Amino acid sequence: MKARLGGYAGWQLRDFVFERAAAITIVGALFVWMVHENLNEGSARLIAAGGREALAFGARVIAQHLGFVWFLGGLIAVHGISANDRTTGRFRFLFAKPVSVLRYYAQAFALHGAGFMICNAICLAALTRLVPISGPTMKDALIVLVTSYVLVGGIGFLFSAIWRFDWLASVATFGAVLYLAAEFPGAAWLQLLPPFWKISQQIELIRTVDPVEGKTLIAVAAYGVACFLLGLIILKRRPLAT
Amino acid sequence: MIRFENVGRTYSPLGGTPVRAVAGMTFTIASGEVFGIAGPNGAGKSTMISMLLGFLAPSEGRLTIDNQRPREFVESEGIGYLSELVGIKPSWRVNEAMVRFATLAGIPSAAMATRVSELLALLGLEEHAKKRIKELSKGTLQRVGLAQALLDDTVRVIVFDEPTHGLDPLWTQSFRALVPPLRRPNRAIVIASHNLDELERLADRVAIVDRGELVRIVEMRGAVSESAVTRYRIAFRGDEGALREAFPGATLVGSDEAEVSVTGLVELNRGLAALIARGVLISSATPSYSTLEEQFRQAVRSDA
Repeated sequence: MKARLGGYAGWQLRDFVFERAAAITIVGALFVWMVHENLNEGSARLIAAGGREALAFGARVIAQHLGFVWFLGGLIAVHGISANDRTTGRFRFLFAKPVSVLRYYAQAFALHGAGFMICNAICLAALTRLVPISGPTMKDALIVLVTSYVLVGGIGFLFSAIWRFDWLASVATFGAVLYLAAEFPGAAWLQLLPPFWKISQQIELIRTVDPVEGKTLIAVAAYGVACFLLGLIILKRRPLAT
Repeated sequence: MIRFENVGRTYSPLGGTPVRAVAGMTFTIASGEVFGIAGPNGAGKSTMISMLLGFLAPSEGRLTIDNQRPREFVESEGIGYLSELVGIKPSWRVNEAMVRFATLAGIPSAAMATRVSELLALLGLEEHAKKRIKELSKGTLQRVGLAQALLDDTVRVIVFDEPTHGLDPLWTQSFRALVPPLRRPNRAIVIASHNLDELERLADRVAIVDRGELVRIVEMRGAVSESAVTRYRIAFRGDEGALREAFPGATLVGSDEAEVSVTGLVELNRGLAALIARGVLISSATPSYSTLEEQFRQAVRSDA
């Protein structure tokens, strides 16, 4: 018999909801709560007046929100995505079934991405109840979130295929890259490193109500996709049992 | 169906000394056969099973199932597999775990509920169906592992790794009753176990492995070997001298029991006939060790 991997997607999504969605939503909701608590009379007057100033204020808030959630949310969404099954021995029953290891984890990656976006959409929707956010700003924010998931998720997926402490590797890489990007701005070799700082640059564009750069985001996403594909190749070649 | 051709596996830890877990394994397992693997701890049984499921690739030689690499075979057809350590997420409920595994096994939705119920009933899991995996005793968890291994009745390969590990005597017996009906002309069943009695009852042949090497394969059908030295315990009433004449080298074990070494059934029966002819009454003659135990003791080096 052939596995009904599509039918198993519901279970993978359920696992995401029970194990990761709450944490991602809490991170976002925490920021929404902070915004709610810190809206002073001046901000309220600005929002009430409406117009360009109010939308600029909303853009600044959403940029702060993105800065708060994009890396942490992506990390929560993918950490241990394949490594957990190996380290707990759960792979044994899963992959004794007629299941392609690659398809199983690729499907999980896609579903976790969808879950990540839904959690963030809920938080952004809550944010729109507090501050005015223009359609283009919201669209750009969603594009940046998708791209950030592809980058952080792709790198996390790669590390998870290699090592059980993938979250540690992701955090260390993130810190090291941001440090190097700050210390050596414009260095040619930076282009080889995960372009985390480019996500920050795009968030800065949202803050200043400028349109995000499509080409930059495509390049960032391409880096994430390359890491994801490399992760699949490693999963194909590496032994599941150690 | 399953072919090991000079299969070896060496683990090379980073910065450590390479460890040869399995070396030079050559044998085949035919469709329709129940094949046992016996060996002491660290003999390489788990590595062999991991290679058979494609979880590990051999570092030497070639291992195929139906002329395909194991991983290719598993991904196209699946294998009914019970691992020694049952790795199921602790938060899953028993019936949920079964439905998940049934989905992955490709059981059609329409047949799934019936199949899951059948197996829960077969393995006495109905009362545990709504419990979480973490709430189960070791034996019950083992039965869940067994149930998921049997979900797809069309699989051509079944692998049980220490199947009665943690089971109470009643369920151990039930397992033994469960295996014969699993036989199919197109199916190979592999059982790795420490329990030689179990293998002797269930397997057609048993590979004895020690320190990563195949030491011998014992045929369990027509089991009493005609050439191997076997020890028997004879309970008798009569002349001790007659016993020593019939079986030189016999050792007395208590007042009316002796242990004798013979090469095959012919020698045993000749000795017994001589005893009876001298008026000695024989109440029993039983192997001191089972055939497999005897072979295992001979095959596995004493310092293992």
